[in-house]
Amino acid sequence: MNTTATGYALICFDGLSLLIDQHTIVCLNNMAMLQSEGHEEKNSETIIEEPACKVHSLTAHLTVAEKINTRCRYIVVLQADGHHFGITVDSVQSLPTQNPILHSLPTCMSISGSPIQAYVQIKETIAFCCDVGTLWCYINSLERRHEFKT
Amino acid sequence: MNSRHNAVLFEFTSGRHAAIGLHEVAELIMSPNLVRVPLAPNYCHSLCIWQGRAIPFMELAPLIGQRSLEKISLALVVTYFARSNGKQRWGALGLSAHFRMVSVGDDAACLLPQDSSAWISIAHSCFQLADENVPILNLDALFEQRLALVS
Repeated sequence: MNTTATGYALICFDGLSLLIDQHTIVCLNNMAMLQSEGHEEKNSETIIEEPACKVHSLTAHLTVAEKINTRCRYIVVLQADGHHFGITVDSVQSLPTQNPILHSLPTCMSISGSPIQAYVQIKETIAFCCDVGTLWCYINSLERRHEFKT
Repeated sequence: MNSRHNAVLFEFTSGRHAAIGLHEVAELIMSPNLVRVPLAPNYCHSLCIWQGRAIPFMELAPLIGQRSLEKISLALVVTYFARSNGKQRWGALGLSAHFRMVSVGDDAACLLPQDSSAWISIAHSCFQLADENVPILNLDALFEQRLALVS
């Protein structure tokens, strides 16, 4: 791979840094504003009204931490294949360095169907590149499996 | 160091050992800087930041269906040349205790352990040490293929 990671936004939550294609971001909602309007906290899946979509915590979906940090401050609404869905995050910013190099994950840790296939290294920090289309498919398939079980 | 030592032996689960060539050892890190990779397999769940590089961190026990040792606190950085393009690569093996160096000769060759079908994909060969069959790892095979397909 080794292409440059321009056009990405850096989102962080529960100790994980993800790079998301900026063009997939529809809007950013402040969690405090939503809660004051009567929305639930993020550890249960919530639905926001504008744009109407379901909000997910990626911490559980991506198995990066055992405990979900309920202090996440924002909901980022993403679009993939014409669908909107929200994710809860601590921060959203542009990449702090210019033209960082995208590296493919080592073959031994790469799994087909995973939205995470590449990363950017910024000194001691690693940010993982997340394909939003694949992430949408992954969340959907997990939920279908969950509904099937129940 | 004994000049006849040609292999490094390490314990990967209780009472079980594997080996690599002494020339494949780069460094032993006491407190590795690990970054967990989302959705990565349990045997290779993290990248290890070493000398400015991010290298895969591998635990052998889950790969062959065994329990990991409780405290993996060391990373043995290893180096090899990728078969696909001849380039030098690095990886890290998770250890809970220091390795030891041994001398291995052709007369100690034996069959691979039969407890996992993964051995045939990730080991060059095997030697007998006391009552144990000790696989010699093929680092290119370990780090350069999708192991979910073999485990």
